[in-house]
Amino acid sequence: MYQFTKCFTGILVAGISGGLATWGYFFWVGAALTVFTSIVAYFTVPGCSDPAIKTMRREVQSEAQNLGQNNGHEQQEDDLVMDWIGSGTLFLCLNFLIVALVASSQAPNGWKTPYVYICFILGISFLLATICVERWIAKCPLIPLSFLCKPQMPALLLSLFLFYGSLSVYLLHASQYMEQSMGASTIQTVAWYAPMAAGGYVISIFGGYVLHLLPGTILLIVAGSAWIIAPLLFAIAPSGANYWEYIFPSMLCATIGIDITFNVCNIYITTSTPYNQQGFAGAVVAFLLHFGGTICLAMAGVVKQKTQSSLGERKSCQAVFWMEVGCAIMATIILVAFVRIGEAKSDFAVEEKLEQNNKLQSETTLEKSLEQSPKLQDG
Amino acid sequence: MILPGLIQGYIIPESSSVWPASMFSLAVASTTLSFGRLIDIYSGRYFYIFGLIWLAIWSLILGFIKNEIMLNLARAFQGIGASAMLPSGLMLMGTIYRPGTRKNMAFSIYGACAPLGFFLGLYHMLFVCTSLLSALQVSSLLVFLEG
Repeated sequence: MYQFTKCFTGILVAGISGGLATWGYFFWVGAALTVFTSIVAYFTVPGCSDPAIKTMRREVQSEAQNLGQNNGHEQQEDDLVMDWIGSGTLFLCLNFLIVALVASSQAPNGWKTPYVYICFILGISFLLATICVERWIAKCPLIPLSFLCKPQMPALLLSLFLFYGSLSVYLLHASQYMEQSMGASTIQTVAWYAPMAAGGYVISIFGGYVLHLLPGTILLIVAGSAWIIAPLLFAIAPSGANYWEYIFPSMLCATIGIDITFNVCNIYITTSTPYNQQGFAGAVVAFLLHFGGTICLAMAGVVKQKTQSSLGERKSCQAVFWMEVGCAIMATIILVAFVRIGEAKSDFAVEEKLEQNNKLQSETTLEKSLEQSPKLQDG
Repeated sequence: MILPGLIQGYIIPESSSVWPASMFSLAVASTTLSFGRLIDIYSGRYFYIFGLIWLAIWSLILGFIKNEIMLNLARAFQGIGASAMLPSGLMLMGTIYRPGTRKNMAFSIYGACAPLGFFLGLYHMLFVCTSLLSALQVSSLLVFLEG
């Protein structure tokens, strides 16, 4: 209950400061909330020095050592070192590429503007450098090859990239559409987003009870169709569209799409990476969310700019939504064709599975040796 | 949602309205994998709290900013805070919960905060709210462990 009351005060504050249009308050309220959160976090979040986690890790490690299976793991905890060269080249590569893409829709001559193509060329060359560093030079690459080589993982990452990209396009352009083409005030727009937030809560409450019963693939197909419908409703909305006919179902679909994908995929990714790489798993999720967001926002900017003069404000916004529908369809097809995720049921973590395999193996070898030993004695 | 206000206030021209959102995402995308590794080597807790404090400092600064370049820069620095905090939050949840119903519950509450955070009117509140809830999750877990 504590959480719910806090969220409602947050909504109120946002509505009031939006009405006053003093935008500085948005950030100050955010800052105050962040400070509060960090105080809460300081007292509640356990560190790695936390006894529970420490003993858990130690147990797993000692078990693995007892079984003599240290070499089975590619990277043990002690072996992890920072890959400074890789992170440097990756940083430069992403910066140049994204700046080039975003600037291409803003710059006076588009792609012909010198700084745009220079940034793009630099970005591509740093991308190649990153691949070389990660593949051959780095002792402990930033993106472990074992992660990328997992079956289904590349397809899952690609479809997530498209889903998260269409999410940020949806969020930005839906509010633009509602304010500019439907003439909603700021507070009204906030109110129109309400079903999204409420739906999110309903799904989060039921999600926990349902997730371990349904196979992930079916959930993802449901989410994919919701992802397609949400922008489609905006794309086909007539000029005097009724809120309840178009915007409301679209908001509901958006929240179904986001929540289900977020849950299923975050759980899948964190569960299928070992304990000592959980930070990497979290980073992959955050990376996909924001990388997809910037790339698709840049693409949406290009679409909007190219169509604005010929189609007008409202139609160009809808063209962006059509692009988003395309992204969502592509992502869903990739998911359906290549990715199979089972139920997120109570299962063993990656190390525990390995351990079990090892135990099974050692037991069978023991049995074999026991079977053989009487014969030896007889002989 | 804050963008129209910024455009009306003549802080940014309409043509470059995409930059503030992009700078934030750009900063997260380009640094978060490095932070992920650092979190794996050191502790998730320190990076989580560091990210939060960093985010708070730059949010405070952002409220005072009156020109476009500074605004974009501050957004980028804000993004660095978020990029330290996001993977460490997920990492903490991933290590604490074993696969199963409780983990599903924790992650679905975390996921629900994405639309909710946007609903709060500001993109970066997403992270504030998620972190807040995940912190509360962890605290509830501690209570659960002790009880």
